[in-house]
Amino acid sequence: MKAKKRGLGRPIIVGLVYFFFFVVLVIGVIMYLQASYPELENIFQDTIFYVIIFGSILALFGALTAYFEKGETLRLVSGITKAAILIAYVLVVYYSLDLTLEIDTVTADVSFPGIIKLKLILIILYGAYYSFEYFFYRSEVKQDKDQLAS
Amino acid sequence: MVMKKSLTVYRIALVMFAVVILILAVLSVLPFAQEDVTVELDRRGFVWGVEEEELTVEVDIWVNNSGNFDLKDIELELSFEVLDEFRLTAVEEIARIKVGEDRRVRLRSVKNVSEISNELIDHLIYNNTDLDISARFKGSYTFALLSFDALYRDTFLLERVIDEIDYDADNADLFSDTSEEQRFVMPVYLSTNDNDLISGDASISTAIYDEEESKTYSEDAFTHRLGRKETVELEFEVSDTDARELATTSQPLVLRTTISLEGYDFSVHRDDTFDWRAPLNDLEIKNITYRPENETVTGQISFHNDDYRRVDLTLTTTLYNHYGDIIGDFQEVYGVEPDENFDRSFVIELNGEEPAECEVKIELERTGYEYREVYEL
Repeated sequence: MKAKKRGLGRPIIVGLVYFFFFVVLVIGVIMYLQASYPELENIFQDTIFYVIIFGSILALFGALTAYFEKGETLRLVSGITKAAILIAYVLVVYYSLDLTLEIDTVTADVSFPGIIKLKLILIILYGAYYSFEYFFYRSEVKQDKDQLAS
Repeated sequence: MVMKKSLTVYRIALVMFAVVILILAVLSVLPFAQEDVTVELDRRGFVWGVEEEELTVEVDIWVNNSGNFDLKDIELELSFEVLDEFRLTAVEEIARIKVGEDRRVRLRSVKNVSEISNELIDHLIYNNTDLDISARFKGSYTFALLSFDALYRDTFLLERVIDEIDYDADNADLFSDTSEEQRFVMPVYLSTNDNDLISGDASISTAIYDEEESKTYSEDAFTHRLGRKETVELEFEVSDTDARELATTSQPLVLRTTISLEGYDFSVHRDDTFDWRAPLNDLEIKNITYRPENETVTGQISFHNDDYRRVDLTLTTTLYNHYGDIIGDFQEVYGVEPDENFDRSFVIELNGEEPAECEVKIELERTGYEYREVYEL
């Protein structure tokens, strides 16, 4: 049995998908909201900047994770790191929002503590996925290595 | 194989979880964006009153929850502020407002009247004032999916109670009803407002006061229905001595007014100084002399008409003998223009009888006021 050959196609595609969802799409939504609702303009202070920085790093780690095979230690490390960056992405973007709305005679400070907690739980579970994946696939990787050594 | 399937299920579960979070987020934000969660001040439910030195304000607030989740741990704080000086706050806590509920919340605040300065009351009575109302609405959705701290601001115009109060000192006059009863009459034009907060009658009591002598001449009171315009003639009964003083002495006088809003236990005081211009200012009746060699009585009368109006008067001088019988007289009608001096001498011829008293009367034609002085000869 031949060892699987690492290709760059899959990681590039995954990286672009991440970049699209976490940078392009998010910036698109922000720009649409700013254009459609001028009163929401102040909400997104430095959000676009953080989206670009953290979204790009996230896309990079998405690609990196996809580069490694399931069961590889480096995939586990990059997968968990990706989840951690995703947490940072969510928190940084959330705290960069100025959720003080001023409409006519109303000033409202809105926060989403429950939603954020749910998102963090989701990301932690997402990070945990790579641990499970590592434990399920590491025997296969070991077999491949043994075969390659013999 | 089973392991791989479990991982696939796990991934699908994660995606579903993400979708649920997205739906929850949209359902949380949408009602606020669509104004399905509202707080409204019910102006009809605004009640205030003063009782036993305590100002009580009650107001109804409607909280409507047409959102998708119950509102919980709600704190409503209502503040009224006037001129950054006086603040009244009412707080109400509500455990839960269910979906679809439109709840009326009554907020009540009590403050001691002594905490309200007289300057503020004066300001409210005489000036249109903005009452700043702010309602703070804190709370969260079930499981704190979304929490909010909203501040609603509104301004309530408190129309001044007294639009205009104009004492017409130029047309003030002294009247004589009988020789003992004198009246000082002054027209006052009064225009007031009533509004949702203040209506009813105002008791207005006035007094004429001489600040230099710290002396109150007389008092008068009347009732005025708020929201009307009317001209009232203030009538101050004055003693003969005071009337004589007023007739002959131009002086600054103070009209001390107390306006009490009936039913609200609120009073406001004001002092209006006006220049009283006496028609017979600096009146001097002098040199009244009996001249036996000529069998005449002579005298001299002088004054300055300080009034804005012409003074038409009848000067009557009467001589009496020791038995009180009239033995001679002098009568003449004069007109004295405003700001003009009057200086006249009179001569009364006698026919052998010796005079005992000389009575000098000055009767003002317009008001019938009679100034009377008796001299022994």
